[in-house]
Amino acid sequence: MNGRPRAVSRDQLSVRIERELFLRSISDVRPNSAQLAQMLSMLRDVAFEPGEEIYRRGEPCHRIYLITNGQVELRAPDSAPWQFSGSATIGILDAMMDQPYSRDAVAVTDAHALELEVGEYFEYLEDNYDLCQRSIAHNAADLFELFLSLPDPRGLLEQVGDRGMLEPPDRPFSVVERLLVLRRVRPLARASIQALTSLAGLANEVRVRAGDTPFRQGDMSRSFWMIAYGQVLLQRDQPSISAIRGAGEFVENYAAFGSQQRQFNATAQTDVTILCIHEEDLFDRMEEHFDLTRSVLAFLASERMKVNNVLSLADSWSSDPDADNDADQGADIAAPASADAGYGEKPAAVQETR
Amino acid sequence: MDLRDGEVRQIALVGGLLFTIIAAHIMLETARDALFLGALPAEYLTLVYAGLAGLVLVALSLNRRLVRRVGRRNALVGTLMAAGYGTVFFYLLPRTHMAVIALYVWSGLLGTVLVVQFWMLAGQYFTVAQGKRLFGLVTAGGALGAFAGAASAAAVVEFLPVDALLPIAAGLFLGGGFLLTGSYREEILLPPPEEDIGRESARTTAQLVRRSSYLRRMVLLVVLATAAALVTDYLFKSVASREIAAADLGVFFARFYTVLNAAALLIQLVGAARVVRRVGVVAALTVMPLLLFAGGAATFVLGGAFATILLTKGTDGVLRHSLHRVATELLWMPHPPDQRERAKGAIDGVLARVAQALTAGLLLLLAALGVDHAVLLSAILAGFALAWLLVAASMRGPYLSLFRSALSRPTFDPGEELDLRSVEVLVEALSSTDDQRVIAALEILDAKDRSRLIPALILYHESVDVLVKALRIIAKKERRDWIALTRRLLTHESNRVRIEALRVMAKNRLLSGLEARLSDIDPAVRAHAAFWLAEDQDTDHKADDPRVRAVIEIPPPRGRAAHLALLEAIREDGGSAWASVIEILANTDEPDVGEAAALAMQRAPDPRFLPVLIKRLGVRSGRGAVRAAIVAIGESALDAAEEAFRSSATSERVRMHLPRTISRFACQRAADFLFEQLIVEPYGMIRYKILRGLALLVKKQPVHVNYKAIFASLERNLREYFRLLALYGPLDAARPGPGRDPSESLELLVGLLGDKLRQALERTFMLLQIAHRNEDLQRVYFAVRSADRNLRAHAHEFVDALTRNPIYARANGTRVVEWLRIVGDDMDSVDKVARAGGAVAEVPRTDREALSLLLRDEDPMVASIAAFHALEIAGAGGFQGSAGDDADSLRVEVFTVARERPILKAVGEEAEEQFHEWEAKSGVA
Repeated sequence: MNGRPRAVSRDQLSVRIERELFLRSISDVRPNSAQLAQMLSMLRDVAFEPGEEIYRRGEPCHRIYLITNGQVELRAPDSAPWQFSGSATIGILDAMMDQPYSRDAVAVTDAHALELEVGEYFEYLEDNYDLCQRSIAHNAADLFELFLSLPDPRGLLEQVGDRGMLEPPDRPFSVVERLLVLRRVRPLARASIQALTSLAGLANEVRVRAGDTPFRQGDMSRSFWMIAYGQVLLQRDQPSISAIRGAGEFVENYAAFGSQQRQFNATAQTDVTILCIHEEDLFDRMEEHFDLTRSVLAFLASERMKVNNVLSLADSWSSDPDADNDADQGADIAAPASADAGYGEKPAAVQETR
Repeated sequence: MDLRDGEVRQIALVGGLLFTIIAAHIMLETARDALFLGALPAEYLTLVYAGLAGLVLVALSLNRRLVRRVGRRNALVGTLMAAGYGTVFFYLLPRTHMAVIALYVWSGLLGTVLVVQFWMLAGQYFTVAQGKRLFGLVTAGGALGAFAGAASAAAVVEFLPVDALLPIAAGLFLGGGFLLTGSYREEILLPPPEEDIGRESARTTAQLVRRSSYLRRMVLLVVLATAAALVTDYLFKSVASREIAAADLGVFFARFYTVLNAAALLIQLVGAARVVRRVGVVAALTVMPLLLFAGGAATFVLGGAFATILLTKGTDGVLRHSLHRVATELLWMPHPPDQRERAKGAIDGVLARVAQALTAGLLLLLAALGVDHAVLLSAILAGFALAWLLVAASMRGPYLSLFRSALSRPTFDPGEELDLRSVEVLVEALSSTDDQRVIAALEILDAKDRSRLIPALILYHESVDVLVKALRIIAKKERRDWIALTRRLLTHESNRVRIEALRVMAKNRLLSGLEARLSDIDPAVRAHAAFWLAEDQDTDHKADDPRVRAVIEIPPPRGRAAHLALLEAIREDGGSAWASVIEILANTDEPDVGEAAALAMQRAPDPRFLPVLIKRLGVRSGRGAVRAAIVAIGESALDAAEEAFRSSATSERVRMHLPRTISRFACQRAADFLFEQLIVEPYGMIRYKILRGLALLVKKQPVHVNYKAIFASLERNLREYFRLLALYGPLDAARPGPGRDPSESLELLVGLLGDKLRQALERTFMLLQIAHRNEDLQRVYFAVRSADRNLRAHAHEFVDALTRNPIYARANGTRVVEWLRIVGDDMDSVDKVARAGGAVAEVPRTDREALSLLLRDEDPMVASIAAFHALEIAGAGGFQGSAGDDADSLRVEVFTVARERPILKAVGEEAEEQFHEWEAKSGVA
């Protein structure tokens, strides 16, 4: 990137009102006035000319951009570019995953954005934890809906590795052993040892024999199930999906964050050992240990990236303005960036370049 | 001496440079004072002072341009070279009156410009925190230079004429220039000056000073200090020229300056930095004016005694370039560099000279009137010193504010009134095809109290969400335009719209048409209709209303939707008369109905709901409403909450949320309870919740803070921090380097200790937040952990300044203050633990020793992981480099501890089996 983007002198109240309109309209989790005011104070209006680089692949991810109008493209070698028109949030998945920018971001037309420092964004989430929690639930539910809409989502769900898990002993896990298991569970991989230690003390163990069905689609559940050992077959209709989940994974992947209802029928393919944590315990620990929340956010972001990659290659990528083509939208900012939320006029549809 | 890695070379260069500059200046000063007073009466000094003031203004302006063009380092090198050659020139000039006056002016110019240039360069090398530690050493270099210069001058004038000092001084100036030339430090050059930058610069500086109360105080400090110094100098020289014979003046000044600078050096080496660190920057600033005031007052009282004048001048000479200089330079450090650049040159240079000129004018006037005797001059000195003292004492608040702004985040004022353009934007947004944008516009207009700008025609919108939102906002009694349009919405296809329509009609007492809703196809609409029709009746027990009863009695599963809707209506708009309905519906097997009933209890606060509500705290969903419901019940609820907190029968999941619930009562009793529990609560997680509750409470309510409890907790927390730090260091060092597989058990242990360290620090700042409710300590906490060295230094200085509050001393918090300084300082963990003195009972020197201590840790999980790690090492043969029986001794140690505490249960059955085998073998079972 050639220096900082051009800041737009936007002291007028009307422009700040525009900003507030934009944030409120893209937010499905309804931050309150104080939260909105806090977010608004952190944003900086920036403008890009056609062809101007917003950020470069490999650079440290220090900023997130809420594109309010104009067309922007995210490019990576050996990968189809992602194009955005109208409202979109770029850089946020890399920020969640705490990694350098994974794509070059370039303005295709004159573009206007709201720039947000990543550090300030996470401070904001930590300050407003209820909002953060609702964002996680909302984004997980959104992501799951998107996942279901894919032509062949099985590939994104199936995980047959064991992530280094050892065969469980012929007795319940000790607390230290549970800690070692939790450390290998993918969504918790970035959590601190202390957070995991706290969870290890609260986790319950469930052993399922091969062939048993521990739950069915539609069952209510208030626990998160993690596979410590073995493999579970997940199946559902409408759409028809069948995938195997292995050790080190949440049984239903991120679906449990978005709904208390089971989304799949589960059948143990082998003898399976599960660690389950009540949602209240997990959320309480996530609130106390923000690193645990960051770990979950990073997990959701990585899953979102996988979906984005599939979407960008799928023939059925829609250019319908009413479709939810939010290709690079992970967690909420104050709110999720819905592809068709406008800042000014209703934007053109998201387009894909194959 | 508190020197860290990499700082020795910096100090040697900077201190050495100041040594040569000051040594040269002292020699030059000795010569010029002797030559001037030997040739001219003391009254001529006043003319020279005034002339100097004007010339320095010009010189500093030129200096600024020079610095911007060539950089600070190069400017100083150039000036030193010019000083050397110029001084030689004066040596070669015949000793006429003009030459002597010119020499005095030359010396004064050099003294000002060189010092300004030097300190601006030094400010570039150090952060605030380094400045506090190291400026004392730097000025010690200056003090040593002053002593060396004065002593050398005294020795030279014993054998040579006093003007022989001039070429020696010149040589020292040139030596300083060569010393600096030999160093290199990359410097960003400021942009070259534009044509009218002088005026622009002055205007900008003036604006800066006008806007900043801190800078205004700096101006006053400099002006008063300069005036006091000039009066002291004139008083001293005028009395000396009368008391000492002209031929002896050279020797007198040389010896006096030698003694004076020796004392200054001693102060510098022994006291200055320590004083600043102990009492703080602001308090250190008050020392010199206080002593000058005392000197001036004593001279006045004793009728102008030469001895007191010597002592007063001595005080000025000893402290001005040591303690006072250190404290004054540190006052500049928190400024952003560009502001410092602008303002310092102007204030330290220009304004100081203006003050000098004005004071010189006053002295000239007194001399002309023949009243410039010692008694009057000492009274004037005492007056200036007193004013200076008062300004210095007032610096604390603005000093803290500077750091506050450096650490704070920007704010957005949501209360700003709409202007016409903004209204246009919002009204236009109401027509958007994007429903979310329409809703956003509605919300903003409502928030700004401008809902009357929303046309009632919005009630023709096709979106259900928009209709519901619009109904909520515009259906107010001040308007009538919405009524007819709302009536048609009573038969809208969406049940949400019908519900909202009948709600707003009922709230505005427009009940016709509501009866028809009792037969609505949707049970939720029927329930809402029943609610409003019953609400219209002035009865105390709505459960007796037949329409409400009809809703209650719908059996599940059909009744579920109706019950939820009725409870939703109660939650939104009900009152205490609905308590009986809530109680009936709360006794349900449907979890969501039970939840809705709990949330509705806020509207009908009743002590009989307390058991349900307190139990409900363990559920995240709706917790805010449950808390509000508990608080709404009043004092009996606080009793119940306190009792539940103390009770061992209360589940941990509920207990965890009681502190923040209690804090919502926002009263002194709640605060006192939480402070009391903070001391006695054994579980860290619950103490954390208590801290959060207290932080919220003190922020919102002006309750009395129990500082003793806070400082006791701070001390406990900091002690824990240092204990963990002592344990962490050796274990972290034991981790294998790159390319080698880490031991998982060691990674767990080190990771856990690292996390607990961060937690201890976080809780420290939470406690500080409670103690200083009007500060944003969370921002300071983030800054302390920042990778930005300057931000960390700012945070450290802010905490240091903040904790110089008498409450710390009164509430036994002095040790806490000392430990806080260590925590924030940039030094390694071994140094921190060592400096924390008695904070850590046992400091392990090796990982083996650390492991032994961790096996006995209070936290059972830490002890268990330590045992796990110890057994893993024992299984691998023991610690590397240890004696052969270390594996066995490790096991024995683990099992010995396990006899007292069940640390192996968490490790696993195999470990417990090994333990029982050992017990059996060693016969200790």
